[in-house]
Amino acid sequence: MVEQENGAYTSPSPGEIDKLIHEPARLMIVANLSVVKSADFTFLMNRTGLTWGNLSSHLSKLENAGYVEMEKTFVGKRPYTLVRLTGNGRSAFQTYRETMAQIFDNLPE
Amino acid sequence: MTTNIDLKELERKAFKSTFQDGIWDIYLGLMLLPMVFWSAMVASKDDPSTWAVVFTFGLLGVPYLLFHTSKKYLILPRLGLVQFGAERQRKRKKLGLVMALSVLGTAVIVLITARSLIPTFNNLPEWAFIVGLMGVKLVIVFSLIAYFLDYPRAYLYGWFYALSIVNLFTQMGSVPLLPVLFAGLMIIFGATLLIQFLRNHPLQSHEVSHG
Repeated sequence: MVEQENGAYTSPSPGEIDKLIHEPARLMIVANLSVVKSADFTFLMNRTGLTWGNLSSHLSKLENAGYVEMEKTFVGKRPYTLVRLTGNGRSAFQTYRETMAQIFDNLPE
Repeated sequence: MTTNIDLKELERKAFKSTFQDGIWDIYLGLMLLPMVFWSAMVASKDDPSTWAVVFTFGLLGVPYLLFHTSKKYLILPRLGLVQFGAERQRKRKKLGLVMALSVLGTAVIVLITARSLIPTFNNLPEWAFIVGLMGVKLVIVFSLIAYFLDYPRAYLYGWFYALSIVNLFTQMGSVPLLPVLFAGLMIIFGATLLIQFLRNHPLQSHEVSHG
């Protein structure tokens, strides 16, 4: 929220919303990752209802932005790609939630 | 929109989803059956042989093996891998402590029985005290499991186990029906959940090809 000279507060502008997180599919991914330490593709597919291709594409965008990191691991002989939010990703999601909350709080009745 | 994201609820749902495959229910149901077998064995012979005792304890290993094998080969590839946050890990550690105390509690009960230190109340038979103690212990331990693992069915299963123990002791020398009924209920419920789980979670084969 921005404080004006007269002490009043204004809502954040739409430009301040993180568009990368704002997209519904990515919002679901980030929200789900924010409540766990890490999760693999299959778990995220189950939680978000996204297809493999969609999930992979959105995760690539989030990875390029530095919001998530991926790590390959094995359980027995089966490979798993674990995904986790980075520190930047967590703080971006927190900022996004605060920004959106301010916008909704300041909507006229 | 985002003001409605309840992260605590989201985390709880994600965690609870790991208990909706029915494997725990089947495991706990199967764990009751060796007790029934033991009681039936006592019913058939006054003094069961050492091999029969070993076989009964061996039977306890079957559900354990089934549990781990099915979790690894059936559930994990369908549900996926997830590591929960610090709060869940703390709860898991507390549960570990509860289980350790439970084992200690059982050891104390066995010691009381072996040393014949059982107090008598109002002419109640000695075993009534032991059975009561075991029953209370089971209800408490299962309730704590339910609380720490967000697994509400364990509250009910605690009573199933406690009543089964009472039934086993009161019906010793015959085949107790209550544990069979409770085990059957748990296994049927678990199997229903497992079938639903397998239907809703087809095997994902994409992981191998992921970049």
